Amino acid sequence: MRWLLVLLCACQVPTNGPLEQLALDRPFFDCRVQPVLTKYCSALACHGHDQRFFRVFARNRARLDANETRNAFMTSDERDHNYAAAVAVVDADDPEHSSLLMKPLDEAAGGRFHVGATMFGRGDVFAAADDPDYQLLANWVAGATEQSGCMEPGSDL
Amino acid sequence: MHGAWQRFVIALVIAAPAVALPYHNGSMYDRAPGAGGGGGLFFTGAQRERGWNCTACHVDAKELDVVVTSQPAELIADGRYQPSATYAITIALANAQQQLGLAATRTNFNAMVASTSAGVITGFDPGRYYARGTSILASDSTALNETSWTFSWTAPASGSVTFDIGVVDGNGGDSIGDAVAMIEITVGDAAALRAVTWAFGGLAALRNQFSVAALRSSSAILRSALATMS
Repeated sequence: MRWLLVLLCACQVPTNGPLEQLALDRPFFDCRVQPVLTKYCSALACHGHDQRFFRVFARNRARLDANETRNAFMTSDERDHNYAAAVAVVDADDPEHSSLLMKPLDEAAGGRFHVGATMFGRGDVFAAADDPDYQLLANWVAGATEQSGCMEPGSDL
Repeated sequence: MHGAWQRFVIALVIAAPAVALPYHNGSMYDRAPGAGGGGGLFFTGAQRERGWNCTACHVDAKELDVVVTSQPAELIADGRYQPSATYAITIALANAQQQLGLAATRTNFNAMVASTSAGVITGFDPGRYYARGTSILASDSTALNETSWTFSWTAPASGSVTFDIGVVDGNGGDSIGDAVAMIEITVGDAAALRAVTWAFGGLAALRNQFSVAALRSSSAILRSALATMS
């Protein structure tokens, strides 16, 4: 009987532990993904809002430090936060169907329901998966890498 | 003495606070996201921009009354255009004297963005506006307290045309608590509208072609349009 109990405990699936996260490429994120998140996600009424689980900071949008000059260069803390927030919505077991990819994709193109698609009444962020910006997100989730010196376009202006 | 004065001036310049002017220059919509720009999104509310409009960033916005007129008047008043004709379109705050931000301690800027689904935006003061091609225009807000914006538009040969227009009455602070109007106006070519009138046998059908759908506060436009038509 005791050995059966031990066996049951050993087979129990942990439900409260941290979920596995993929070690997605940071330079690709900073250089290629961050501009997409800035452009499409980070507006103050959207994922720049402080009530969002997936919150994105960006120049001229929400800033981590509320006293920061709105268009000041992004800080390393903000970039760290954005990277962690994006990784957190990538499903390590099924990356292709991660929320990062499914939410902004129109349901007609295979995406999932996204409140953002209803806010302005004219569809989701990406009408189709072949959108070049969507492809950047998909490539990152699929493991694309970038040179460590890659700089986000415009970030030095 | 001269040297001391020079140092004083330099010190003043260095001490002057950096003024953040996000999106007060129309070109900011076209700048790279990494530079804080829109990456080509102008937030006009048009379908091609997935309906995103000024309220994406101007949160907790108040309602704003705006009046849209054209010269010749038929474009906006009747919702019809003559093929290849050029119209002057003016967008103005309905209550300019009551605009927000007049008492603000910071500079007060208002702004306008407009897009057209067809036809060509042909005439505007390049010192006051930034154009993306011939279908999108954004004010540069180079002057304080602007309350009206005018540009020319040349009609296509035929077909339905939709204008999407956004106006922000800034409160002199950040992007929270400004007043915002988002307006959509659909017009048609006069020949097509005549055919519709004939088919349905009345002026009412012609009037129905004038479609104004405002996400926020279109009452002033509707009043203006109805007054013109009646």
